Amino acid sequence: MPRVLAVRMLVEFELIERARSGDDAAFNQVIQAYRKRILGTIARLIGRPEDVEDVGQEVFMRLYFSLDQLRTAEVFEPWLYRLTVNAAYDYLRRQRRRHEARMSDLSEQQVIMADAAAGGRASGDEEERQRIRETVHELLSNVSEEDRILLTLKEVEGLSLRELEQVYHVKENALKVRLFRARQRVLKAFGAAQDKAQKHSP
Amino acid sequence: MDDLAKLFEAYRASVPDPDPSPGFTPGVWRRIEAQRSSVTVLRRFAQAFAVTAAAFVLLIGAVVIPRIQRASAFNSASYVDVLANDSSADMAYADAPQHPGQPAYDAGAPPVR
Repeated sequence: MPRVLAVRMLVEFELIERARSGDDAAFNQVIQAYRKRILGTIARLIGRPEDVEDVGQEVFMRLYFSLDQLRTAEVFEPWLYRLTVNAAYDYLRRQRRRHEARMSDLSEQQVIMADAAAGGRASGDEEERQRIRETVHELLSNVSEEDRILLTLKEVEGLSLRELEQVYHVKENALKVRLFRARQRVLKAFGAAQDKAQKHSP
Repeated sequence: MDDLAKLFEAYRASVPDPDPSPGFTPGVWRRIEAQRSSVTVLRRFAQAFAVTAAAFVLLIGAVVIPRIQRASAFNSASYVDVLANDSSADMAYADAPQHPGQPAYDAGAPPVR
């Protein structure tokens, strides 16, 4: 069943089994092997570098306490992705609530100044990367947190429908429909953003 | 590849996998330990609660239920039984002479006009 994901496994099944049976040293090795990949995925899912490690630690903590529920070591990676998705989703929801509360406390002028200050920090290549990141986050803000994560896993992380099926425990057709709708919404926002940019360009 | 797919690809390149800080893994273990201790406290609390609940159930079983059973034996008498007990007392009162020297009840006496 987990043919595709098995190719991407970074550790031996035997190590997962040992960690599952309560071997902390084995679990430590699992953290060492997966932390960079998981942190990268989280960074692209949540878009806030300063909080990536915090969410990453949450993922591995949840992994530690849920390993005994893992049926077999073969489904370890979809399991880990599922925990990552859940932690990112929790973070994004918390973040939205905080953001709404913060923005309601600021006057419009303060918001404009804050945006301008944030935009002025970047320079050169980093400025271009920053622009891409902001564009993508802006586009993804047009869909729900669930769809944002699903779309990011598919389009940015490159997970196949089969892999997503294993992560979400949802039938492939349902995922296709959901992805299609989310993509259409983002595409519409992207088209509107492009039109706006063309109008403003000299 | 459409423009949106290109943008997502550029986004993937603009956010590379970050190197974890030296404190990342110790931080994970700290969280695990904190969670373990809170789980332990919760488990102890649950155990204490279970013991208290069991004692309470035993107390109810030993003291309260027999009392309820006694009370329900009294209350479970039928309406007719209760009426029969009560009416016997009433009849004794009705049969008693109203005035000294007057017979209690004379079925053959003429009606009073």
